Amino acid sequence: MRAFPLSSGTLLSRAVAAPEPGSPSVGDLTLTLSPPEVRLLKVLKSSPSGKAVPEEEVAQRSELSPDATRGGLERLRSKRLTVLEERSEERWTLTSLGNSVVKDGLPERRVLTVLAAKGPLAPSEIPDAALPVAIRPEEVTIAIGPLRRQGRIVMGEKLSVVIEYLGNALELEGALQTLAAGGTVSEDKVLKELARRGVLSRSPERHRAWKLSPEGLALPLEETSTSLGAITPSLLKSRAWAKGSFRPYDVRAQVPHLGGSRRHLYREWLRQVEEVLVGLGFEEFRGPLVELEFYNNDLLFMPQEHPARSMHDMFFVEGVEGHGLPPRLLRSVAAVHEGRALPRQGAPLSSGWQTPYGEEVARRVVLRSQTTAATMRYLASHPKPPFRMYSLDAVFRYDQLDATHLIQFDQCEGAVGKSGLTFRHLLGLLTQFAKALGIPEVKFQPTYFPFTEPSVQGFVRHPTLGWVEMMPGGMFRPEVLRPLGIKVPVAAWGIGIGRLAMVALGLSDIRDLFMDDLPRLSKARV
Amino acid sequence: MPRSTLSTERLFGLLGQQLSESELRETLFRTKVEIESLKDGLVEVEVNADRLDLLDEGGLALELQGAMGKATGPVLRVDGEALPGVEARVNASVAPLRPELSMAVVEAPPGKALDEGLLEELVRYQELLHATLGRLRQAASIGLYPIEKLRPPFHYAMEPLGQVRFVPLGGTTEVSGEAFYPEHAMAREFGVLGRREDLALTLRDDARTVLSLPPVLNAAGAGEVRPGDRRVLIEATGTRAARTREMVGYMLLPFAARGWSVHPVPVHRPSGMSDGTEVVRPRKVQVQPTLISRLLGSRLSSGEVEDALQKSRLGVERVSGSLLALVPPWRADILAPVDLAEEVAIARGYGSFAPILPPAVTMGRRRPERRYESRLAEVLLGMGYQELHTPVLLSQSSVERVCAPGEALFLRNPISSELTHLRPVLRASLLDALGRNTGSGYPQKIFEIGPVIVRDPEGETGTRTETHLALADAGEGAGFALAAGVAERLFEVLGFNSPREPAEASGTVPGRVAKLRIAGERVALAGEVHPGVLADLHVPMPVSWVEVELTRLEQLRGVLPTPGA
Repeated sequence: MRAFPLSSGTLLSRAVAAPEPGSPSVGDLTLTLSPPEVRLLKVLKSSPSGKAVPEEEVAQRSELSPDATRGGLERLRSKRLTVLEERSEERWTLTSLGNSVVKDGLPERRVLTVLAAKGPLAPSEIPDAALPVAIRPEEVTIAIGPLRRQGRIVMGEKLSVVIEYLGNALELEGALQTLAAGGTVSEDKVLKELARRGVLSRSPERHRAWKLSPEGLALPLEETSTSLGAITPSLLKSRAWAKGSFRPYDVRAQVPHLGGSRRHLYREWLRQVEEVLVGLGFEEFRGPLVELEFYNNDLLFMPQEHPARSMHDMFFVEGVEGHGLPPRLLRSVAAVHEGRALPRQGAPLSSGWQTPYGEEVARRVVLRSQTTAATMRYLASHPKPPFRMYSLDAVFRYDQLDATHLIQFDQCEGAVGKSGLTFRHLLGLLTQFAKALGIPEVKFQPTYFPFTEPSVQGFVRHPTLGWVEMMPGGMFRPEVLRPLGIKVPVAAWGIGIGRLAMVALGLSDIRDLFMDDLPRLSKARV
Repeated sequence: MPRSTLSTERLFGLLGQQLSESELRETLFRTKVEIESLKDGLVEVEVNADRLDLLDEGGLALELQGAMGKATGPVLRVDGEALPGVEARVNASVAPLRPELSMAVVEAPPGKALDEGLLEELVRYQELLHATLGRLRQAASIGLYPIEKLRPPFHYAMEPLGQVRFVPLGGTTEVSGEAFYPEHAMAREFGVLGRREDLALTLRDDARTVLSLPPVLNAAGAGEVRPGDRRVLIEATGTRAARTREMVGYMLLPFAARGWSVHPVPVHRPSGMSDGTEVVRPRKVQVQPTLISRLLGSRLSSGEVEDALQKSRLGVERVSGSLLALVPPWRADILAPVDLAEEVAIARGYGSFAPILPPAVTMGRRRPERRYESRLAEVLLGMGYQELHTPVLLSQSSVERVCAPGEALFLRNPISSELTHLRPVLRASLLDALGRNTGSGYPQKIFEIGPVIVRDPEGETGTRTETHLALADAGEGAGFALAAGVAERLFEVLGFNSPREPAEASGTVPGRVAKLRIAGERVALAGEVHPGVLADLHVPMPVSWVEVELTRLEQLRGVLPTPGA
């Protein structure tokens, strides 16, 4: 964990304007100085006759790091207590090539030496012949030009030495040695020649020196010895705070940015939805994400040949098959699908789907495509009416992933069972739930689900999108309820809660519901 | 949802008046149709999957008439008698491939006949039915024939390809079955449904004229209805009787909406004979008006219910205190009394049913384990861990980074190579998240309490959905010691004291994983991630994790002392 440096002097960074009527006097201002700043002021004050002190020297004498020195001096300057004298001069410095030349001599020297000892040689033979002295091929080229111009060597078939004398190369080498030793060379021509050869370069050097401003000079530094900064355990123990006075901080100064752990923004929002449901008397139920088609579809009176049950509508899990389906429930479901009467019942509930019901289809294992599968498990557990159940959980749809579609999203399922419950109650419950979520306007349209009758689509008014389909629901068909042994009417709905969350959280991309960008999560609005 | 583009000329012609787009939209909001657009004489509609009848101009006009109160009650006129000699024989040879055949004959009212507009509508509606109910002709397909030019009875059989000679619809030269199947575009698309080895399905009349090769293509002439025709034979073949009946039933609609009458066609099957009335006659669904009132929550008189059903274009008969709805064959969605209740609600308008609230006499609550998990999350938040919410589906590489081969279940039909596997452990998702946050600064501390899918041969799906808790630390100082320390802290607040024991886990540094057991069962692991895994994720910092099998732990909570249990 990083410490939070509240006690640091870096808190003081506000530029203080020159004293104006009504603004704090110089005497008051000392109270806003940090101990390092006081040390810097003392160093400058001790300079004879107020001469500017080079920054490096200030750092050395104040025993502060170069960075802290520069930071402190700059802050003091912004408070108009110090003055910066900046001076820039050009300096010749040795390049890395220059450094090696200082060590090994100019290429002319090395080439002439090897030719004198082992010549005549072709230029390409020189680097090998010179070993152990290092001569790079390009240095051979550099050296041959001046040596031939000055008549020191001749080029026949090979190079051979005429006069073993280096001429002005000696002068250049001498200048280099002087520069390397920290001396100065005044001959411009020599310097330029060395620069052309890439052994010297010219760079501007900035010299920074500091002195006190008249305000700084007038500052009574000794008084600051009693100003108190951070409250430390030793300060508390010594009770020294009773004798000193606390230095006020610049409360407008920049402070370090802090992160921190949070609930995930979408989960937090889901919890609020759950709070609403719990407040309305709903108890939570959860079912498995990997489900049998029996619970996902068959119990919902979805025909086994229904188009929404294909490989293009649901995800099938490889390598597993269902077993142990409750036999009595299975028989009843088969009967309603085939349009046969249930056990101990005179007439069939309806003509059913008039196609043979297959247990092998019921046993197929899929990713749950609707939370209504959980509702079926809940109803199969024979809840005692009246009941109100919700399930806020993941479902999976065979959909292309884009800004408005997710493969996995959450549905908010609700089911209410009570004797005497009617279609109007369903409309009332949906309206009430919308209101509780802050949606004032709802309207209803007929729609179709194989498992509810009547079925309804609730539209909610969105400020910019207009009417949006949001709340599909209905009254479960007898073909759903009777095999489960439920004797009261049941109203149910399954809301794609992600869309609602996007509106509430101001997200434009539904994939952001799974946001894992840590800085964004940390900064999300409460 | 199914869509179609209808002709406004035919729609408004049948309706008897023009409507503006907004009038049409407003009237249809109360129904199961939505207007997508209305322009250039065309109206694009989308309907609920149960109302394929509304994809036809005739069907939509009937619905609008009812909704606007312009006309009510049924339009279907069934002439109970089959036309003399008009019947069909199904040969036993079709049984293995496409056993079912249904038929009906429609007849124009005096002075009327088939015209260009109706013909265009029939062709389009036929293709819509093929695409939806017919499952691209696989389940069922329809044909229309100029019965006045044919000699009944009709014969549906499977014959050797060599015997079949006909002029394909749209062509001019006669071809043999052997030439037709490999060459014709329609045969290449649907041929597999109508042919097996060197045998093909045929529909012929008694003069041996080929009407069609179901379900591929009709013959020119004998399989071609034209303007001026006054009687049309409708035929459907398919794999199930219910589907072929429904197909013919829907196809009656464009004719019935224009006052054509309907005749049944008896069909002789190897299993026995039917008189064909089951295809064309309205189905009877009996309902007590009080049941409708009770379901909808509005006290409706028998007369009100009757009126509403008539607006839905159903016939109604009274029988001693209850009503008998007569449902035309194109309303296959009406199965039972509850379906009639919805018809009544739609006819009266959903807006006319004032929402009311049932009295709330139940206690709301979250599941106890979810409340427990919330409290645990608070502990982790307090320790500085950021909560995540990640999907259950991951890529194979994400899962295999931390799992033994074969441990994770996967999808048979994934939609993307990034979402193929069901995570059996939660840390797979957390490591992915760390891999996506390499530019977010360190240290990083994350956690999630969420679902995982584990294999369970005993379970009824062969799997179990369980809740795990996982957390991960990334940054200098992350490592086994930190993970073990966090695990101990968690167990402290869970009220358990479990000594650590050596364990193994994929994707960790060997010898730097510990398991924690309760009542002899492993319920948690703490480990240090292997640098190879980190390189794979481009994470430049050490990472350690803890994973708790929360569901198991919650179950064990009942047998072990825990605070707040």
